Amino acid sequence: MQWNERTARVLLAMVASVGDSQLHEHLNAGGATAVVEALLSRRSTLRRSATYLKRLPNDPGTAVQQALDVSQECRAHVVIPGDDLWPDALNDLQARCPWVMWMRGVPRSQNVKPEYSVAMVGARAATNYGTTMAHEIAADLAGEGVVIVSGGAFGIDTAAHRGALAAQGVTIAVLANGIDQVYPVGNTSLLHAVMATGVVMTELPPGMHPTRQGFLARNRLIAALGRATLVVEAAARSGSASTVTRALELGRDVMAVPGPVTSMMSVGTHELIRDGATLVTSAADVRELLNPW
Amino acid sequence: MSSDSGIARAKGVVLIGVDGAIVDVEVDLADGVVGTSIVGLPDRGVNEAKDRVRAALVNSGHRWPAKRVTISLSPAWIPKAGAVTDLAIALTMMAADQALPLESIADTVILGELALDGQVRAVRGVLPAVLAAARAGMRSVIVPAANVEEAGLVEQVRVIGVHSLAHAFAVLSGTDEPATPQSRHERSSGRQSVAHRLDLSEVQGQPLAKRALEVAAAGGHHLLMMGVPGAGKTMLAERLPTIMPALSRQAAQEITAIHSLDGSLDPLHPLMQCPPFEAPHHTATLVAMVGGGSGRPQPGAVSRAHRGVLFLDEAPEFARSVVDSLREPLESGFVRVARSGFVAHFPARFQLVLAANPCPCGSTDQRGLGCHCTPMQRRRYAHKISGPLLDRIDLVVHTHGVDRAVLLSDTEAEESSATVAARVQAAADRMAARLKDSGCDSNATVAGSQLKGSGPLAIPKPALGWLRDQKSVVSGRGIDKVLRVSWTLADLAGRDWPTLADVQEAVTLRNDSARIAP
Repeated sequence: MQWNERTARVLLAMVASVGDSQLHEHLNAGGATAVVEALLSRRSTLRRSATYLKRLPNDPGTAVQQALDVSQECRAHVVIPGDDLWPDALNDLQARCPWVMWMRGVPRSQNVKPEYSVAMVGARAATNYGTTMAHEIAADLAGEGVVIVSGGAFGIDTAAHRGALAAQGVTIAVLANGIDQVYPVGNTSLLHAVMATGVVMTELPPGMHPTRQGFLARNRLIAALGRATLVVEAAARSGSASTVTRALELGRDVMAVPGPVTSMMSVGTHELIRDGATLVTSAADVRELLNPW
Repeated sequence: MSSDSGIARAKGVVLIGVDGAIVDVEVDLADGVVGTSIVGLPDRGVNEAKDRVRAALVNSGHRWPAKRVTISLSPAWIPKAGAVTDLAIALTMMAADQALPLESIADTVILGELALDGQVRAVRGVLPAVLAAARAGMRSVIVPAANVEEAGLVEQVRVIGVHSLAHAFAVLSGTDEPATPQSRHERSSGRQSVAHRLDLSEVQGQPLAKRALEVAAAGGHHLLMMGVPGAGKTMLAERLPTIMPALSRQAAQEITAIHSLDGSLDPLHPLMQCPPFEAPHHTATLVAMVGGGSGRPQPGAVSRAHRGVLFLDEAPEFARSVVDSLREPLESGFVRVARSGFVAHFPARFQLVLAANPCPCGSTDQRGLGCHCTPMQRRRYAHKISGPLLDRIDLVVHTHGVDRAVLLSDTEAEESSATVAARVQAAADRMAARLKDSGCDSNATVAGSQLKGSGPLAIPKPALGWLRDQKSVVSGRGIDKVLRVSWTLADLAGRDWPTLADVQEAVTLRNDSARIAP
């Protein structure tokens, strides 16, 4: 295969680890084509090159071509830094920036590079209170042009997407699996609805299944894509905590919706508020923080 | 029919569900090869009657005729089960053998099982059997002496209690007195239900849950209680029967008839005068819940809870199919158990109380700090109670563990069951008067369409308008439930119409917001 920047980055997405800062520097300095050609000819100076060589598919060229074919079949765009569609917000991740993004749906530049966006995250076992709040806030924000960013899980994620869709707004679902897969299967119709007006995206190549590590890595993308992160409901131990940590590392604001102090699904949000997160009760409170003027 | 021909007839009853069918017991003594046969779809228990009856007759000083004996139970299509026809066969045999006058048993229903020494043993299902006899126009019944109080609950029928076959012979020959029920006045003083040893005042705190119980009792609303283990859900549910409206004579007879089938009645005070409380374990099978079983179908928990309370503790732990089986009785008020050749009906109009923990691990910490369930485990647990069942539930309350302040406070302040029951009775009377011509028997069964618009049951516009604005708290389907409960709150307050405050309180009694979302 004749490698170029795009095909080389697809191969890196298959083999390279998230947060390899040395690789990140090499990409910035010489581009992905050079990095991949060096790797394949065993001349790479990357500290992790031995690991990456072990992860190489038997025939890297064919594997990449297959990934591109599958992407085309499911009408996914393969987007790399420098493309019009590349979400610049991801560059804030620096060394932890994804090598390439797959996008399905309506990836217009105002959708993937919006002026205002909010990451909405929270519990999968959310209560009716939590899903109602997520739905309402997402609908109000999306109705005013704020793009909603969330995962594809049940509970708060689902309610946030549904709210945005109800207001005919734009919503982004960031998945922890290949763009050709749908997970969780129960949310198939929701994710297709998101694609109708918004975007479903992932950094993982086609064929990849969700893993625990994958979800944690995915959370940094949600945190980066939102100008601020809003936690609607979270239990004492919660996946939302990792998104919040990433958001704080990026210097993004963190907001939380309070609930009854007796509710186990609000223990996490109350802790966030005690630690300094902004208490929000409505879309108006969120807007105030996004745009104080 | 001359007595020379050796034929005698009497009547017995076989039960199909709680309905009894009169069967003719006929005995024919003919010349020919000596032997005995029973015809007319007998089961094993009935076939064994030959041996029991022969022994009982002989041991009571009578003879078993050395003839060709044919015992027929008709109509032949009804399956006959058990030993309840023993006494009828024995007495008919004696009449056929001319030891008794034929007319002494001709229009009498005879129930009873025989011991080998001729003692008459108590049987199950006496009340439904005697009710069937009364409906068929029979004027007298012979029952085991141990069952006379139960049989005596049917006023139109003369009850003849017998201790033994010899006693029965003496009574029918006019040489001895039968055992008879005590006077009705004495009988009604007996109160046997466990519920009456419980009292609402024993539950400390929990004002919201207690209010929900009162509303449930007054309006016939089904109730879901959520809360950590130890928050008092079971204690509260057990006390619901103590505040429910008084049972009518007919209702008491209905539930007594059902409980007669499983032999659980108090022989001296059989009439069940307070609503039953049934709490099947969460491992209960479908048959245990709705009734059925091999042989004669038995009532399930839903029927034993008829006109009382069916309490499902740990409701999400019940098998999905078992919980879903409640939908038919909730809709129709009865259960039908089909068998080849017949369908048994059991009444099952019960008030449903469900209790659920917030998560499957049963952590007792309100905020789930000790809980180690995954989100998906919690979601699955919460969603095991199916949507169609939840649709029938008007009241949802969350019980919290009682705090020290309540435990230390004065228990005298807690209202007694009698106080609450008086309010419930007054509200139920108001409700009955209003619903007289509506085709509904409780606020809980009023159709959604009747609650809106301009009919006699429509909620006033301002209150309805307010409710429709509460979209984030009350879903579209929740609106009807809130309106039904509003009527009950108005009934409890003695008002002719629900006010805005009633509707607002009804919203707090349907606290759906803390349940795990679908």
